[in-house]
Amino acid sequence: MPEPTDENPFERWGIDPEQGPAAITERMRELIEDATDEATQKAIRAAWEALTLHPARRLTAALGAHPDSHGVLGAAPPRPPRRAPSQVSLELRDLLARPSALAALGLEREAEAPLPEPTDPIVDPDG
Amino acid sequence: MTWRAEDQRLLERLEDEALFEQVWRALAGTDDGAPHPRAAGVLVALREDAETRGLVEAARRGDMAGLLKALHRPDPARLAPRHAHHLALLWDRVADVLEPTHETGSVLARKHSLAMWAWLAAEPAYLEALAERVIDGALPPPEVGRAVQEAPLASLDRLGARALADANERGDRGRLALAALRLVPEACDDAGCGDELRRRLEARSRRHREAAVDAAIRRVDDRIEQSLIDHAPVAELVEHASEAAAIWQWAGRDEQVERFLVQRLTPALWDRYRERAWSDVAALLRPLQAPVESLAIRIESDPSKLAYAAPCAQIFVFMAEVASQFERQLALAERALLLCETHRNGRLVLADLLVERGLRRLDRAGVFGAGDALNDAAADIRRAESLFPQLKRLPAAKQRLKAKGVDLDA
Repeated sequence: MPEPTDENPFERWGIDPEQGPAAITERMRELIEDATDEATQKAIRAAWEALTLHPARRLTAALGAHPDSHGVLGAAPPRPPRRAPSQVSLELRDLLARPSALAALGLEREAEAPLPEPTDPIVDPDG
Repeated sequence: MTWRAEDQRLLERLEDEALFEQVWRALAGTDDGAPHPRAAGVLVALREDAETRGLVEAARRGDMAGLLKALHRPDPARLAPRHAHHLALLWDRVADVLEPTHETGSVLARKHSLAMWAWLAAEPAYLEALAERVIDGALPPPEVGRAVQEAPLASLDRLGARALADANERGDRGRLALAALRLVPEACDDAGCGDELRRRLEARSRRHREAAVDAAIRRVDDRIEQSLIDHAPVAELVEHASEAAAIWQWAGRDEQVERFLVQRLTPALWDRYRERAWSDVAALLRPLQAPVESLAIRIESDPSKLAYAAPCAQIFVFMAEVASQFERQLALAERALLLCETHRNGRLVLADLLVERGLRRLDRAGVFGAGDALNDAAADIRRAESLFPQLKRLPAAKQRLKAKGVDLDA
């Protein structure tokens, strides 16, 4: 007998009915391990018992669950290949803004000005 | 990076799930109560069929009409079992969600679901394969076979259980379950069921309806029985009859309740009739009017219901006896004979009323009584004689007619 979806153990616990009792047990074990509270663990255990100990009830629940028409998802896509390290070695001056960029921003004078004296808020609280 | 077959499947699943959210909203009118995302599998068969692929593509562009039509009216000749399974569950879910707010839509959704289960019942190979995988040898084959046979009928059992559970309180869920069970013949039509399967499904549906109606009327039946034993005042019987009429409405104007009302209350009506308690008879008949009219229509349109013709005709005779207008009395007595031509009391009462009308016509015909009034009076008295020759008033009526120059015995 098809039960309302939210009460159907296959759908509630994300189990494919066609995978059989072994897959149900495996999935339930994972779920119990992941469950953080006792009530959820208890509910999962009850569902496991209902599905594995009563084959007729398992069939009833399977008929009440949407079949997986899209098929199993398969393996995740392969990771993109790792890039080889760059052959170009960077130096500190490569991090400085180029004169053309400073000109575009109108910051030539600031770029030529000497750097301010470093301040230490602990030694010089007014700094 | 290569685009693999499983990547394509994942993309299709995600696209189907996204489209299914819109489909669900269109079917249920709400985002609430949506089924498990696997329900989006209902789109797979449509996408894979060249004839319906365009409907899915159109729906993705925002034109849902074709897709919704395909879900409402799947072609039984092109259905795949897995698709039918999806549809059976989907429509059942739609029915549940619509139930509190859109009763008609809910019942129709239930009918679509029943049609798909009926279709699956005719495709045992799919159910057998599913059962084998799910049960995995844990049950002996005969038991698996029985479970497979029963599985598609289980949706009927669920509706029957709902109706039965609601029978005493006459609840809405039970009422709608009964309404859906009444649509089983239509569901069989939609599914293109063969005769044997149709008989099986209709019999199961009928059994559930009868069980629920039986449960509903049992309590009223007991109360009527007690009132009759106690010689209770008629008001008490009227109350019980009104409750039975309410059950009749709850059960979708069920024929079983109509027959119950007629059979159960006729003895009480006879008791009051013999006591000449006309106002009691009239009061007791009032709640019966609509159910009896409905039963009369059934009998008139279906010769196999002939067995109920005489009891139903008797109720019309009672109605004729207590009607307050003469023309109404005549119409009701005619109705009784229309139902059951040989009904003795019907013939007697109609004959008496016809003599009465004949005499009234003779009164209007005047001293030289001729013309239409005399002819009409003669026709009435002649028909009365043919209906019930032993009528006590008949000789005097014929005598008066003879005095006006019309001798019916000549």
